[in-house]
Amino acid sequence: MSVSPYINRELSWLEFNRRVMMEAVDSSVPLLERLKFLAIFSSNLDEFFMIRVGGLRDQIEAGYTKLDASGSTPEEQLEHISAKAHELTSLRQEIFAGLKKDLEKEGIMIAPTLTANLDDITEAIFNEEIYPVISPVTLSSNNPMPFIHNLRLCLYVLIKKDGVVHHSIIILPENLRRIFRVKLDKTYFLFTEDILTKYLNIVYPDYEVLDSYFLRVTRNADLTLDEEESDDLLISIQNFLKSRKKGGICRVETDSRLPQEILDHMAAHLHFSHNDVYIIDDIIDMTSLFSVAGERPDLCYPPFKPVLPEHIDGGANIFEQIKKQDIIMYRPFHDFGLVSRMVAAAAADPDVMAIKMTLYRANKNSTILESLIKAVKNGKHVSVVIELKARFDEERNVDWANMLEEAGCIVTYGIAGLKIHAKNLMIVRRESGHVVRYSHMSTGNFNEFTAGIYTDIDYITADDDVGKDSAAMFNFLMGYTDIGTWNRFYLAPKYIKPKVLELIDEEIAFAKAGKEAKMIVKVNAIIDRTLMDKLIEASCAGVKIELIVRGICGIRAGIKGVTENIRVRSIVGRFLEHPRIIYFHAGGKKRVFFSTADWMERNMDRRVELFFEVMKKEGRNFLFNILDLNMRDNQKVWMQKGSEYVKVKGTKDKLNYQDYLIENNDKLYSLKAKL
Amino acid sequence: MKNGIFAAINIGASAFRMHISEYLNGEERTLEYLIKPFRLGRDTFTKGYISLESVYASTDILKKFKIKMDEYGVKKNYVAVCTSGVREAGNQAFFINHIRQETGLELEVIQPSDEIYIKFVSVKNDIEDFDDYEKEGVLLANISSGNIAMAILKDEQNIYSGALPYGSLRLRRIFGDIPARIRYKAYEQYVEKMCYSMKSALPVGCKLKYFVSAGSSLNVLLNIFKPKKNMLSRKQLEELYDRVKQLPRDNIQSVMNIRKDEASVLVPTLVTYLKLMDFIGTDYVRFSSMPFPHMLSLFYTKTVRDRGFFNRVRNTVYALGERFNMDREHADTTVRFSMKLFDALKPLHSLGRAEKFILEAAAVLSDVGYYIDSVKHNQHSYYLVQSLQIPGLPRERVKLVSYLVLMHNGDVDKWFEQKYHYFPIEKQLLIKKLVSILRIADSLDASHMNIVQDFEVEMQTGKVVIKAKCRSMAFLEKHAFSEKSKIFTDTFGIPIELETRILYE
Repeated sequence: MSVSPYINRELSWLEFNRRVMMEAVDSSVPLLERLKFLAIFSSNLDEFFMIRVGGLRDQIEAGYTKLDASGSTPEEQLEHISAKAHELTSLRQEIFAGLKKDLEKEGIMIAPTLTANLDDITEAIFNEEIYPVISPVTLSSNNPMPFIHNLRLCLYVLIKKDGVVHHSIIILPENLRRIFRVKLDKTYFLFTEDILTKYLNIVYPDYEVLDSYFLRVTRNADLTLDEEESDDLLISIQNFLKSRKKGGICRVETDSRLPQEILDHMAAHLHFSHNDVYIIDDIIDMTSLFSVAGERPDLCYPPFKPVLPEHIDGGANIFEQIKKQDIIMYRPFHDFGLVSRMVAAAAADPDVMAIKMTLYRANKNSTILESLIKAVKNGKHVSVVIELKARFDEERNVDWANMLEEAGCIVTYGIAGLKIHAKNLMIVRRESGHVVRYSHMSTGNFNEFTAGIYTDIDYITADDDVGKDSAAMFNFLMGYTDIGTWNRFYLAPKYIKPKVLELIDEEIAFAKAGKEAKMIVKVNAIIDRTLMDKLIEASCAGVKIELIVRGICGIRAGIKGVTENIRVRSIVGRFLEHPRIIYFHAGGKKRVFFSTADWMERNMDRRVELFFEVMKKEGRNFLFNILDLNMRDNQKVWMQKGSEYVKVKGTKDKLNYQDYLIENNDKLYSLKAKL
Repeated sequence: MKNGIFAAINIGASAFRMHISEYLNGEERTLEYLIKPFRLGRDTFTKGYISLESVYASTDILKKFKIKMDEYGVKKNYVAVCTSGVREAGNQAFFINHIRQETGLELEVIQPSDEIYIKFVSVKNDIEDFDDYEKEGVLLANISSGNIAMAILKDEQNIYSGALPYGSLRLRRIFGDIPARIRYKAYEQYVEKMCYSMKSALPVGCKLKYFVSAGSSLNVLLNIFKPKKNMLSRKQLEELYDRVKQLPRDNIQSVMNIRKDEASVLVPTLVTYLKLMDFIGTDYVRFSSMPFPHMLSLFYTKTVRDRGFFNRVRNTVYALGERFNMDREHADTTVRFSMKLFDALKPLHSLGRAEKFILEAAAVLSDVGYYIDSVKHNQHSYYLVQSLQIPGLPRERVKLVSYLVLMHNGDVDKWFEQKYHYFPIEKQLLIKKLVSILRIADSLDASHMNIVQDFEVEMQTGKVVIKAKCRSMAFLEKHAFSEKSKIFTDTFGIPIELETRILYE
């Protein structure tokens, strides 16, 4: 049987999460950063179960049996996921055990055995913090199992009185702290559940406490299916979606001592299968490790300060500098503060008429948004298109929307059914009677916090054609016009995919004509079936394709006669790889684009995204250099082999490109990469 | 226009559009162009009024346009014009009032002749060879959703001008109940009838060579063909027509990958284009791809000008006179005398070039009423002139011409008492000044025999004397002069006398 050129989306994602976790065993990564990677892995996995596994369960319950690209039914996919997730969960425990020992040597004790020297402290914590807020529920025939909220840690307790064994559950309240840091001879991170276990006899004063077990359930999150999935799937299961019970259980984490009969009892009442059970004999919820990760600066990445590109004068008029030359930067190596300061300057500038921006994610104390509020007070016309459905930032975005609106900004919420993912900013300025539009486009959010940890492109220009497109885009998003004409922008959902297909077709034509044909695609995910098929067609035609995909990649590279001209690599490092940069050899024209869109159906078909060709020589060279450094990285790169990934560590000419750019970010302007 | 930003809004039958331009040192630059498809005409053409729901929806769109204007600080530098969707609505006044109340925007309803004129001026400035087309014969058709406004130009004359209710959306509405499979036949018949009406309005043997199109109907064709040059061929249009003429709208939309509103009007649009090409006998339609609001902006800011406007209107006026069998010799004489009097009496009337042109047009057309009947010919002249549409000549000026031709004969005081007493005093005065001159000029050729060859005007103390050189006894002229000159004295406060002297050879 021939090997499928497609890899299941979920398994590919789990492979990505494995790569994240494996940073925790990379000795070149500082110890506490390694611990953080475990926390990231755990947080990612929680979300995966809530959304992706939950979604597959919905499909099964709705009777949806269509095969995915790799040829698996939803049931088969769940089986594969379960096997891989169990393997990864076990591996996480091994890694954590090793890290725990290493940290103990550094005097950092995570979830230690609660020895007598800690008694005074644990007792105080129990009495002051834990005991007042917990409510044990004793199970009975009338109340066989209380509702356990998603991701809420529980203690299942067996107690005995008058010869009768009773079962009880304590669900730890959401507002109860999980970790208490105690600094004695060493630094102890004490976990609430351990302290509670120690003092259960106080919780059940008239009972004998026989044993207790940790328990956590993960439920199907009632969100995002509409955006994540393909249209045909949604149509097939839409009736089911209307009637489904919210929050079915997708995963149960408990410790190995939990007796089988208790597990069976719970499975009957909570409706899960044994495949959904994950045995964790250490900390169940490792997302809590985030609070340990900053404990000792010497065990973290050395701090670095993003800098302005050398040719930018931080003190001079920013608008004059943009007019002289487009500005391109690579976060976090270059200082995103330049953008914040540009908005602040615009807010105070009497010549500025209007400021417009899209807002997908912004940080809590965003100076950019504060500048917008100041701009309104200074009489500027400020418009913000806010995406209220940015996952996990919904509430914050509603708050920002209210705040901006109260200040007098014109706030709109985009187009029904389309999530606005493009990140654009436009400043309109009157200069000697002439209207000049400054356009900022980015692959990253206007989030000053993530700007320090994600890699992203920022591009600022005063080009009038780009300015017209920026204006047209805002008009379109704000409902001022329904029809736009575009000079330089390709916007999803209508124009990006056809343009990309057209560009690949051109490469195919070059290959067929015996000319050099090559593409480099740096994105976060590739799973769009049309685009994958076109890449396979291009590979068959002889186009050399380098895919640099951080996360999901639905293409299996290297199958002879099918994908043999495709290579897939993934970079996982200190900073989260986030820009989308696409290069086409184009018969020697060497066209290069950056984009906010991943190659996923949700991005191509159900979001407003930007795909932008950089035409100026300096900008093109800058992007070529990023791609070239990505290709030459031999310390943080994983190469796809079959459906898995193998870390390739070079021993000669070692290059961790992120580390290299911390010191040498100006090289992005001066190197001359030959792609 | 002076340096600044100008916004032009067009409220059409099928869409609202706004164009914002920057004018700097004589250069125009488009800043924004907004389009909100909205079928205001659907209400107007079927019910005769704009539904309240549509009034509210229109208000919402215009509020957004107003925000854009505010963004650029545009306060008074704008024009907002409504075409057939509002013009033909019974509740036009309510619509305009509601928009003013809610948005502060002042809407102006423009007539088809104004619309076609603005397009004519813009096309003339946009299409390089248009001056040649104008000489050789061109049909300029503004094919929009509601109407087709047309101007036929040849030999630097406006031969025909008119607006016919054959817009694509209107056709779609009229024949909406007929099954799509055969609906195109109804369109063909209907548009055929339009061509017949046009043909009958043209001088016999008038041949045209070029077809130039403007108007919203073009957009759908441009979307489909994306032509590199400003030209479409009959072959292209016929092939498309054969492909879509029997398809229902939804199929057209998916087959052609166009918007729903575009799909609904594609077939009637193609019928119109093909029939007009047949009418002219051309295989090509040329166009200017400049959107109407952009044209409005350039026109209202006087960035584009109508080169040769006065000549063309003059030619057109004479052509109209010819159409009604005017006495060319008498008309020429009356024009010559009017112009001479106007120039000579300038210190008295203080009027300018535009008023002089009104006088000239009235002098040409004052006797066209004879075409109907010699009895009360001035009244026949009046309504014939009233019905004229002369592109570029504002309606108000056409009316002024009609008042002059009406009063070039008969009792002026009676007309003012009966009909025009409500006119503002300045307007009454303008009419009286021009009528005074016209009546004297007309009287000087009362016999239509060219007896008065020329004259001199002398401004003497307490009177104005016209010293006429005659080739024989000017009995009728003297009589007419005494009848018609009273208004001159009443208007200017100075008597006018006629002295004649026969020139012997």
